[in-house]
Amino acid sequence: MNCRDVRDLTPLYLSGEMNGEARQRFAAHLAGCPVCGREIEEQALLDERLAGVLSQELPDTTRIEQFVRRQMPASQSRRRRIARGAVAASVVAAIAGSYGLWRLAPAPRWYADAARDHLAEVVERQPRHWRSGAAEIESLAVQSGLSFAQASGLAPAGYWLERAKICGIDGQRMLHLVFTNGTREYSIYVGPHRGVHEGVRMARRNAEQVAGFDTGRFRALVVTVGPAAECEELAHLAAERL
Amino acid sequence: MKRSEGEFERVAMPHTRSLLRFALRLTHNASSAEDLVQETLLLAWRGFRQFETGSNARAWLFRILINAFHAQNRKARSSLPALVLTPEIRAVSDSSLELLEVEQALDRLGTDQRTVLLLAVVEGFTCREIADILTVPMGTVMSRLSRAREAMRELLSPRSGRHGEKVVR
Repeated sequence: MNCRDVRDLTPLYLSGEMNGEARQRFAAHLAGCPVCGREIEEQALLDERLAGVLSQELPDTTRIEQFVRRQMPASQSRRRRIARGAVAASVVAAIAGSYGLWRLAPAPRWYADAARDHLAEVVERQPRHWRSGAAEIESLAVQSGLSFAQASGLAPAGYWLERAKICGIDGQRMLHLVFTNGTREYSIYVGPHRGVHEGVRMARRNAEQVAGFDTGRFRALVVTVGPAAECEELAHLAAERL
Repeated sequence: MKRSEGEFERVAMPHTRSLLRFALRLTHNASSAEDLVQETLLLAWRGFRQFETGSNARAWLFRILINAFHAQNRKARSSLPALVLTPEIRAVSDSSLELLEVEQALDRLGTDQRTVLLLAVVEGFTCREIADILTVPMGTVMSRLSRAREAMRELLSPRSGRHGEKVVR
């Protein structure tokens, strides 16, 4: 891969759409070419700056939502429609409000830590002491209150638990599990709960998508490089099984 | 099959805020942006029967919004141009110089470049999703995105100054 290829493919690299082998060749070029390395770094910094500034906006959508609901043809009786509309409006306002605020507020540190950890240890494959094999992983997993079977069951069909280690995320000890389907890898971090029950919430740091949740028993994060919807789906699956 | 209002509320309405944020950047005008989002949601509701459950609702809504925006532009071509918020007007209501600087730079991009940049960087869509939303080849998205990033870096860099007159198309 030469400098021109890297320049052409940069949008795919930054959006996380590059697959394993191409991504490795891309990263290998960056490691040996300071000019391209600096270029990517500057583009990533620009993205971060733009996202940080432009996503702070919290436009009020109340008027639009009210107008659209009034215009939507209703098949129910007026009484039922009003009752249901009021409930739906409050639910939607709550969902939209919390989603919007979450998307626009800075993500908590544990999200950023997990994204950085995944980038270094999984994407860039920096040398680490990993545990692999059922017995070795089990010995780590039990420290976090999980059996090997529970840990390996957090991924969808087609993926298997390949390796594990203990990480420090936001000052907390978390179990880092890496799942693979043979070509792609993603991470799940599992740690002690924070005494709250919290649904899946998304954040993004450069190419890394991060989905965090708290089941009331465990706090967990899923980190992928790819579309946000895929990361969210993997997090919902893990949340159901934890 | 008739799809319920409740399902539409769940699938489409939570995206209203990001649609509006994007529309504000496209139209430069709060009331045009609200109109555009209202029209988008009503078009989406009318076409909700065709929406495939489980597919990407956000990308679907953004595609409708962009098509509606282009349709409105075609209609309004002979009328007066939309009011563009000037730095002076914004400076009174918005104390963020950083936001102002980024907005000024963004406004100097052509609509095509601004659109892909906002979809990728602010709304978090992948190049494949943007290609589907805009119905253009993926290569076109990638080259527009590269040119938009390059232009923004040039416009935002201290060398070109905050009030440079360069227009990027």
